[in-house]
Amino acid sequence: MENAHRPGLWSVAGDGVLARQGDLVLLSSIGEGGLLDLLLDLQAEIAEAGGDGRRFAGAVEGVLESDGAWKSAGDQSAPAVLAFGPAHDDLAVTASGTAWAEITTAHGVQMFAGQPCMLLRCLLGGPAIAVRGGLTADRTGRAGTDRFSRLDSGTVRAGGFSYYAGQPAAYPDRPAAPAETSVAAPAPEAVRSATEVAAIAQGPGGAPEAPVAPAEAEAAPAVEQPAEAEPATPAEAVQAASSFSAVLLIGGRPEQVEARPPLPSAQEQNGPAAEAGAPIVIGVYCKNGHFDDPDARYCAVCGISMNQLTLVPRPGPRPPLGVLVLDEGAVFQLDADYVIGREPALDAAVASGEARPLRVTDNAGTVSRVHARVQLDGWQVMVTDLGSANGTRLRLPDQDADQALTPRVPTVLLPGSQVDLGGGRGFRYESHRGR
Amino acid sequence: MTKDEPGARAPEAAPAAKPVTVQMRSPAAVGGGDLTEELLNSDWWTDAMVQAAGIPIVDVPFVSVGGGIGSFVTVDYLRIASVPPDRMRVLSNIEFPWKTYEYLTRVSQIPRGERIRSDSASRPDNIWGFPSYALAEAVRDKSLKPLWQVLVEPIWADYYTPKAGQVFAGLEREAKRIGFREMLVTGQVRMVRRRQSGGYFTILTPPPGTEPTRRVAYRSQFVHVAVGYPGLRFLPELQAFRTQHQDFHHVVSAYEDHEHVYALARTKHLVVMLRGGGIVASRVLQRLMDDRERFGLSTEIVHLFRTYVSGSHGPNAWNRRKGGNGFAYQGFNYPKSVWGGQLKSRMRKLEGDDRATEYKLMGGTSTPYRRRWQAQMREGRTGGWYRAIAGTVEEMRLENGMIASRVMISGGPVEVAADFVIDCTGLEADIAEHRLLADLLEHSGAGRNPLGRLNVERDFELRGAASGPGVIYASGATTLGGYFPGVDTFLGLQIAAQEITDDLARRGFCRHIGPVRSTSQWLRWVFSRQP
Repeated sequence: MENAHRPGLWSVAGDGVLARQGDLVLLSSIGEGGLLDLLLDLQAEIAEAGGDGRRFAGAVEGVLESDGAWKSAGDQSAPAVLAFGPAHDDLAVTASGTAWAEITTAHGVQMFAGQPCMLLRCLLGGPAIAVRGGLTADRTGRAGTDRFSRLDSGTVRAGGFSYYAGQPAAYPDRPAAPAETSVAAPAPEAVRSATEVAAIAQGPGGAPEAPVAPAEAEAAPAVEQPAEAEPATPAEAVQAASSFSAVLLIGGRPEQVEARPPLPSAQEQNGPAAEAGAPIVIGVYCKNGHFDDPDARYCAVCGISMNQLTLVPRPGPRPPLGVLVLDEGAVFQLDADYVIGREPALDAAVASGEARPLRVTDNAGTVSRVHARVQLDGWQVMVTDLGSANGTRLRLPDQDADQALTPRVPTVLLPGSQVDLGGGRGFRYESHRGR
Repeated sequence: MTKDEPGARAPEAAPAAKPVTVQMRSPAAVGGGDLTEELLNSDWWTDAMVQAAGIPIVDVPFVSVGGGIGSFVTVDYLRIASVPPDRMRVLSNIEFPWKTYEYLTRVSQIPRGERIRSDSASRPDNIWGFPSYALAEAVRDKSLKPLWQVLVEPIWADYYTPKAGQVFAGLEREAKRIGFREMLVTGQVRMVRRRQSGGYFTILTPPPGTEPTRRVAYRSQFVHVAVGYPGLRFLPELQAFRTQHQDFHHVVSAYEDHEHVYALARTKHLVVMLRGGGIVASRVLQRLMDDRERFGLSTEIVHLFRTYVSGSHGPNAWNRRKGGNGFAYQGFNYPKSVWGGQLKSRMRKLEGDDRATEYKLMGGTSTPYRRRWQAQMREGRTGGWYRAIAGTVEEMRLENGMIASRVMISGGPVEVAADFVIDCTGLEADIAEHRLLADLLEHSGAGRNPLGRLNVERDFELRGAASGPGVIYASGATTLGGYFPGVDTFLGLQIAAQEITDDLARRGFCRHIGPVRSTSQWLRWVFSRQP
């Protein structure tokens, strides 16, 4: 699930077909007759001819409109099909039947809620930043993807997908390797020494003269991560005039998004620190222009009520989601993934710069060298046991019993969750965002 | 309730038998039911203007905007005064009336099992206040303790106050009884504008995908506005830490989850700085002290007061409030005389600056005197782990993982270092920060009272916003500073609702709640029968 905001097309398992040819994407149910074959042929043909999304969307619409099978079926349900592709600087989309899509451009998010008798073609202003889609109302979206489900070209069985545009370097979701190197090279040592200092300093009953929380020492450089080349943030693209045109061909209707003022620039919003390396996620802006969790009741920066506005989901740099509080008194701000263990640097995610190492030692040897990973997925915090010898247990807030995590299966953490690493050590996840 | 433009809401009536091409260039431009420039810029709207914009109109005589406890209490009164549910609509973006209140109490250390700061007889779910919370609790728990407490309070016992969970359970029961869900329409209220032929249009933005159009207009003779606090205003230092350093955990607000402070305090020695002297500060303080005692911790607390109260204060012997060690003590948010005594009658006659002065005298931050935490604070002062200082913060910065604050006290600046700073000041944002209220001020003739909030009459009519026979009422925190103090409390909301109901009875919208109706309706309440 760590791929959630990495560029690429990520399939979600299901009964339909997902096909990609260049930048043209087709998701379709498998009906009777040769409709799907026809669509796949069209896609291949248009991709070969340069991959014009407008032509692709128009052709798919034409096929659906002229396809008699579903109209004579009596139930007036169109086949579930979603097709899209870039058209110069815009995005052309055709959707029909129960297929749904959530398309994020620099202008905001456009939802197409599938309805049985819908056939819709539209042209969205600006290239796609992210597209999620599916064939049925079950919107598992990116939660149903995993790191092995990326489709670069070809055809697979699928019921939905998540698509994130852009070059890897433009998406700082995974802490960019050069940035991480400059900070993380000393980080394993810093963390080790920090936690050990805390463990010694605490002693039995706690020592009043304990030094500064080691986490701060660790966290401080983290927020100053040198950024890579500044990504072309969606905010910058907003200056372009929004254009939206759609042709609703059969029944139904797209949900509309609010006409919105230009997004405030990230610089204005969150200052330089926020821009540097913060992943772009879909959130909401408070009336004072601070980027927030869509579920927040009050803005986390200024405190104003979020309830008074119609909240329009938009992309923005994700602020820290909370903290990990280690049992021996260290705090780690959750602005990146962490791999936790005795030798976390051994994990590939740390080596590749996707996650920071968080070294935890214990005398009893219950913690594995690479024990667990804490991942940030959108606005959620997840924990995954990485196949540790003694397992990882999770106790959610307000629950008396804890549960053993299934290795390599991410589980959502709620603020107040207690995670036990093999029986000896542990940490809590807490967040200002509350529950 | 009738719908204008019946065709606008019935797409399902005509399922597409064959493909139909509909041009949808820009949803708003072709009458997709959105606000037009003309509507946005006009103080007075006509039916034709709204229809031309393609916005469907729903007729209902009474609309309450907000959907929190203020709306709930008001429609509760009106239901008891004979108004059927289909003549009222509550427009709200919260699913149940106590949602916001419960959230705020929980994060500020008052979970369901803890007691809120409210009187035993202030029951938002029972307009009669009988049986009181204390009596109900005594019956439920088969204990005389709550009754004994209300008998001897506040001399031999602290004031009795109900548990938060008891309040919510009562509200839930009453919501069912009056059919609150039938009246609730979810969505975001964008604005209320006056209608040229009288009454108002209230524009609702329904949740995406639930209505065929982007907006729906509620055309009503009466509108009630109870949107509550526009929000908090975090300390500038807190905002600076978050925007400039992306540091969300060293400086926290007491009104948001800050469990990491308590969690960390259990693992190591911490110095925590509190700012503010109100009820939330005392709750946070008690949590720190309780944890210290329970887990044997060494937490140090530095408590910074902007206004340090060293003893009893007030202009004369008849108008005095107890205080000490920085706090001003008061059992409830307001002096008891606000509800029916000399303060109530005096305030009703005051205008302008005189009223503002009286509010200042009576108001200010205060907290109830509770014996247990007084004892804990004494212990803390003796043990040297609790220190109270008076001053203003000039600068806060992160140094070596600690928050260093430069505080200006009477003798000059001092440096205070703490692991965490908890902002308990509870500053509130200006009413114009709320889009709906700002629109009322700008377009609907509403004005501000001497305290800067919405200016309401003695019957809670929004002054200057009348439209023909139509009236806008407002109640709750947004009207603080009016002729009646205490509007932002349970009892205050009920008193406002009673005034509004009386006024609406005079205007013929509902019946007057006289002794007979009151008694018969109370019996219905007792037996959980619909009003």
